[in-house]
Amino acid sequence: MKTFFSNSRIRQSLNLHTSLALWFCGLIYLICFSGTLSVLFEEFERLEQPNISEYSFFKPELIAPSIEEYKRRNLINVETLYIVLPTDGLPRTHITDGIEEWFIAEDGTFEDQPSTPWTSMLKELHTNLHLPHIVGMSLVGFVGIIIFTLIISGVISHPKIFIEAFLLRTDKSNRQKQMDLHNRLGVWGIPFHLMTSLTGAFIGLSSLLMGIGSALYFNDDQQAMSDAIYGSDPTVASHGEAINYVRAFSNLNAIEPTSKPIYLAVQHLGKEQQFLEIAATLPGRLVYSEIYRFDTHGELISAQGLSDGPVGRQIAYSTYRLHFGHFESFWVKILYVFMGLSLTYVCVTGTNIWLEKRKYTSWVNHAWKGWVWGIPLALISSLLLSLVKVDCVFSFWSTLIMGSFIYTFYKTKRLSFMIPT
Amino acid sequence: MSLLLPLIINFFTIGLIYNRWLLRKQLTTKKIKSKYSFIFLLFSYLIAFNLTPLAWTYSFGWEFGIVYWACASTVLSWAVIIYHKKRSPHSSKISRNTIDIGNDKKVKPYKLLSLDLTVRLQSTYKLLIIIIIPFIFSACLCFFLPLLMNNISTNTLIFFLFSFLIIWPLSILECHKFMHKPTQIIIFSSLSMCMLISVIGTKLV
Repeated sequence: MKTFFSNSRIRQSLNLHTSLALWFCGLIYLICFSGTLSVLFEEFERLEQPNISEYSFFKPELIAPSIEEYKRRNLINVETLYIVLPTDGLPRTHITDGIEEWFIAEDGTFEDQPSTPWTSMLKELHTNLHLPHIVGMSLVGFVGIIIFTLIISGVISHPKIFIEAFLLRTDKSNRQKQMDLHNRLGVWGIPFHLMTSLTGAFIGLSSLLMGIGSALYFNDDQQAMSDAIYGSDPTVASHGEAINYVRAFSNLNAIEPTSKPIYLAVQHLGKEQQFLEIAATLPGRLVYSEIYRFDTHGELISAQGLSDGPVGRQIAYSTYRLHFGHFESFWVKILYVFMGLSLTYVCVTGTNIWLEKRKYTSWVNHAWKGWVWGIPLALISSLLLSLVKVDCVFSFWSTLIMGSFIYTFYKTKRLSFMIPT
Repeated sequence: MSLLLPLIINFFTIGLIYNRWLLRKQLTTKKIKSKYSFIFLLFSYLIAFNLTPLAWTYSFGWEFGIVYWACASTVLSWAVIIYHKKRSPHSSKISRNTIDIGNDKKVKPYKLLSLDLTVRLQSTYKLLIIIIIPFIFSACLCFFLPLLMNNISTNTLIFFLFSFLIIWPLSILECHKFMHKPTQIIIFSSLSMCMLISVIGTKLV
């Protein structure tokens, strides 16, 4: 059969594909599965804390009293204060300084503090595997690189990519079935899989890249590196007067009538340099938001240029929504869940193919099965145990490790009795 | 309507590809050489890879259009795969190379606590080489050029950051090729180390 790549190249790629996949299959599966569920994190948050009032619009007139109430409750001086506005995905308003947080009702009264331990655990599992922030994020980003390598090596090592484009032989051997599912899901999903792995690698490795970049080009000044990519803050001077939020919102509406504000941030709260930032999504744009800066009188200072600035900035700021799948409608999330599940299944079937290919069964077969079924089981058990206030991170990892270990041990022991002596 | 139009075009093109694929498959089975079949196949792919993204872009703008195209093509292709499976004749012979060890006494040979080649020390060392050396190589390649520029723009930074994320996996692929050729792997490693020294040197100077 004539192939685009030489036989030795195909064999080498297959070797690399197998070795890399087997080394990282456990991590890839964990990250893909948790990432797939994390697409629906807003829905999970709503389900976990259903008693919070929901509405679609928070009046700008209520912002100033809400900030006053926040100051009364939290006496510590903060540099930046955020009010996250209701969106279609999460129709709730909350105020936060990054540590303390409260939901705000439609009439401006403060409600409960957020309490979504399971969803937070799930998100942190996907973003940093519950490891220290930079280490965990970099590891997840590195797995994105590995997935990217696996996709490319997978394509090179698949000489029958066109011949078998629509074949699904479920009536053949179990290995053939697994291979067909692996190849069809993998090949047809390439654009999506490349997109999520590359954006995931960018988001995950951003701390590392920022570190290297700032050390090389900005004399270790990480803020300067960040400013060079995302734009810098304006310098303003006020007399410490209160910010006119109503005017700022009406000015934003006049400048960009189609924009939808998603959050506002008061920078340098209460100081002379204080100013207001309003982040708003723009229709038809993948950038996470454009950030408009207003002075204390509510007059526009500038926009950060995330939607119309340098192309590089637009690309960098588009990676987030592209990776999360949070745009347009709820159906996009469902689509992302299906595509994420397909990548997860590609990972499972890939390992299964290798296990089937071996001429023997060992504890590795059971350990893999234990890990694959253990993760959903651990997620369910941590969700149930969170109802009786058990720490979700602890319950997840303890269930996963214990479950996988017990299953592997039990099956290995059971099997060892069947070996003819 | 904005969703329906690209969906129909996408479905039509996937159907066209399937049709061409089926025809070519039959020709291959009958061992009839037909250069036209290949041209048609190529033509269908060209339509699919140009017309469908255009349709999605027309309806949703280019940014969302490309994303929807990527997802919709995958979902629709599965409809065709399932359709093909339903209409193609099934093999009645079901062979299994895995035996249910719970019900069958004829178990596969069992190796107690055996680990495969992939987790041996030697392969760990190889794996580290094919990850770390390409990392150094691609990082130096991508971070060195901006170092020589006086004014680093946002576009330059992002271009080199994304280049790094693409070149690293590609270097892993290339480095793996040299795994059984010690001379080449030494040359590649030396080159990477020289580049690293150059970057550090340039920074210090």
